[in-house]
Amino acid sequence: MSTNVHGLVYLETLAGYLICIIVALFALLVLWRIFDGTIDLTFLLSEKDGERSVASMSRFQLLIFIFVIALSFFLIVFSNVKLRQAKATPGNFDSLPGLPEVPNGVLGLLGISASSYAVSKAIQHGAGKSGNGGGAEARTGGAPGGRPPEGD
Amino acid sequence: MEVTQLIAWEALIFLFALFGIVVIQILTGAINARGLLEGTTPDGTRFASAGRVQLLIATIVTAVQYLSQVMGNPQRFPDIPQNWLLLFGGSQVIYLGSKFHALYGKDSDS
Repeated sequence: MSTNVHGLVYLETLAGYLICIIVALFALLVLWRIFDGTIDLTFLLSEKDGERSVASMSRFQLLIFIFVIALSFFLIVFSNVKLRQAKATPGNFDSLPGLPEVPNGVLGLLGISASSYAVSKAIQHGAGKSGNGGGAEARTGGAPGGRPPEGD
Repeated sequence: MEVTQLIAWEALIFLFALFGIVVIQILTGAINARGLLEGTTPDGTRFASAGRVQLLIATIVTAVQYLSQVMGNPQRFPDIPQNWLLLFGGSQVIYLGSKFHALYGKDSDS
């Protein structure tokens, strides 16, 4: 019986390491492809409108928030894992950590950011329709010598 | 090294490497950031937009404050005070207002 338990623990550890290695390889591949340009991030912050593309403040803001929330989430999960491991007793499955709850404030922050993006696009679209800002021209490929509207 | 430690290092390295690559590409121009702080008037003239600058500052301040709160107490997501949300919402309203004014200002002035 105890040999079986030891075998299972060994198998679990081995599977854990294997999964870690596979995920690490995928992560390395993604990073390498971004680095060598196979995954093109040129327009990560841009909005292509007509022939030109300009950087969008809303996209930049969302990028920053995503990094902040992702890092926070990771830090919190890892901190909880360490805490619960310290308190854990063998066979006590209550000590398994859960995912942290995201408070309404964080969702509100992201919501404000996203709705600002939507309103901004609506303003820009309205300006194009009413003939203000040359937006309609730009969206159809741009008039000769004309300029497309701003990116966000 | 335990599996949990390995996962932690893996995730940390991936996040920071991704962040680093994005920052480097923005700085070197590989990621197009042209016009990030510029607005456009109805006739197509570009100008340094105060609305965008204040929004950038508000974004960075909010992000840094939040990260420092998380690092101070990484057991749970910190609550965002109502004042922050108001400040951030106000900043967005200023940005949208300046954009609206830049695009429609000529019509309302005439």
